[in-house]
Amino acid sequence: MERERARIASDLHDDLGAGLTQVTLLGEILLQEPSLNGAVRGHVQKLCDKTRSALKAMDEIIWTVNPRRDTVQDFVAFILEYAQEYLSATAVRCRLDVPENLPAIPLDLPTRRNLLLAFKEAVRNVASHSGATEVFLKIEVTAETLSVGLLDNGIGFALRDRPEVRNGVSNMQERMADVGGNCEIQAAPGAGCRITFTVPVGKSGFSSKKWLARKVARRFRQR
Amino acid sequence: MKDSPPDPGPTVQPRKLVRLALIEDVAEMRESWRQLIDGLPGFRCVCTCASGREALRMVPVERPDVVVMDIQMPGMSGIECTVRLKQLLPQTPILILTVSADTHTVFRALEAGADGYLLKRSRPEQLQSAILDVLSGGAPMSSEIARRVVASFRERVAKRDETVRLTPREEEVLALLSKGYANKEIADKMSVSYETVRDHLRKIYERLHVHSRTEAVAHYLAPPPSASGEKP
Repeated sequence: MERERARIASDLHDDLGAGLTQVTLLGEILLQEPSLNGAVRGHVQKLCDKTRSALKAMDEIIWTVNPRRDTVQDFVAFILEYAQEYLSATAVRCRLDVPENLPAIPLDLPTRRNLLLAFKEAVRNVASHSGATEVFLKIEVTAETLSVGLLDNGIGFALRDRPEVRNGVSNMQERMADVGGNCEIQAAPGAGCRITFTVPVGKSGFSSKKWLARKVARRFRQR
Repeated sequence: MKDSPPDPGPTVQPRKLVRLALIEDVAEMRESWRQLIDGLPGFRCVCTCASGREALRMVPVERPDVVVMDIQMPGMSGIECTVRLKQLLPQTPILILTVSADTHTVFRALEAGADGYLLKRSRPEQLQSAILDVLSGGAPMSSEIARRVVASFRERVAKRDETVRLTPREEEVLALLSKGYANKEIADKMSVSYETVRDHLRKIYERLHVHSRTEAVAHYLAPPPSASGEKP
C-alpha cells in the first residue's frame, strides 16, 4: 500500500509534471511572439497561469501522499514554505519561531492532510481578513504532540460577528477533531488573533483506521 | 581549490549578452527551454546538452557565464554533474531546475555546489532575475534552507570536524534568515549594508560547498565513470 502510493506519486510527478511544464514553456514561447494580438495574448497568459497553478497543486498532493516525506520535520518544512510563499504576495510579513532540531517522528497521512488544510485556511484568513502586518508562526513539538500556532497583529475579530470567519473556524475545528487534535482560538476586536492547532504524534498519533472510524461515527451522528 | 584549473569566471557587465548552457535530458523540453531563453532579451543559449556526460565535455569548451541544470536525469544526475562541473569550472555559477521545492533535494543540490535553484514552473521573468542575481554575486537562501545549513554545520562540530565552521556574524545572518527576515531587514538589524549581508551569504555557500564537496566528491567520484548505464 505504501509502496503503491510512492509509485503513484512518482508517476504523477514524472509524467504529468513534465507534460504540464512543457505546456507552460510552449505558452511562454508563444507569448514572446510580438505579432500576438491583445485578446489572444490574454488567453495564452491565462493558460500559462492556470497550468502553473495546476503544477503547484499537483506538487502539494504528491507531497501529502509521499510516504518518504512523512515526518514532523518534513511536514513543518513544507507548511512553513507554503506560508512564506503565500504571504510573500501580500502585505503580511511572515516570522518564524521554529525549534532548531525537529524530530523525524512519523506523522500519518490523515493528520498531515487535515493539519495542512486547516493551516492553509488559517493563513488565508490572516491574509484576507485580519488586516495584520505581521504573523508569527510558532512550532512546538513534544514527545506526544505537534503544535502549530499563528499569532497575528491584526484587528482581531469577535467570532460571532463574522459568518465567513465562523464557517472557516468550524471547518478548522472539525478537521482537528477528526484526527484527535484540537484548535484553540483567542481573538478579540483590536487585539490580534492567535490560533493554535495541536495534534497527537508518534505513539499517541492517529492511525488511518482510528481516523476512519471517527469519521464514520461523525457522519452517523449528523444524520 | 587552489590547484583547480584557471577559470576566468563570469565577467558579465549589465548590458553584455549572458551566455548560458542548458543541461536537460528530454529533447522536447530542452528545445523549448532553449527557445524560451533565446527569446529573453540579453540572453543566449550557447550550449545545450542532453546528459551530464555531454555537459562535462561541452561546458568547459563553451565556457558559458552560467549553467542551468535539470536535476532528474538518467545516468548521471544533475547533482552528480554539478559536483563534477564545479571541479572543472569552480567559478561558473550553476542554477538547478527542479519540479518541486522539496527541501531535501534542494539542499543536496546546494551542498553539491549549486549556486541557486529555480522551480520549473517559475515565470520567465523569475528565471531571468535569478540568473542575473547569481551573476552579480547574489546567494539567495530561503528560511528552510538556512535552518538546514545551521543544522548541517552543527553536526560537523558535534563530529569534531572543525575544518570549516561559521563565524559568529554568519551564524547571526543564518539565525535571522531562518526566522523569516529578508536580506534588507537583516542588514538593518545588524547595522550593516545590504551588500555585507550578501557577502556573508556567499561565504556561507562557499563554506557549505567546501565542506560537503570533499564528501560529495568521494561519494560520486569513487567508482570511475562507466561507459554504460546512460543512453547515448
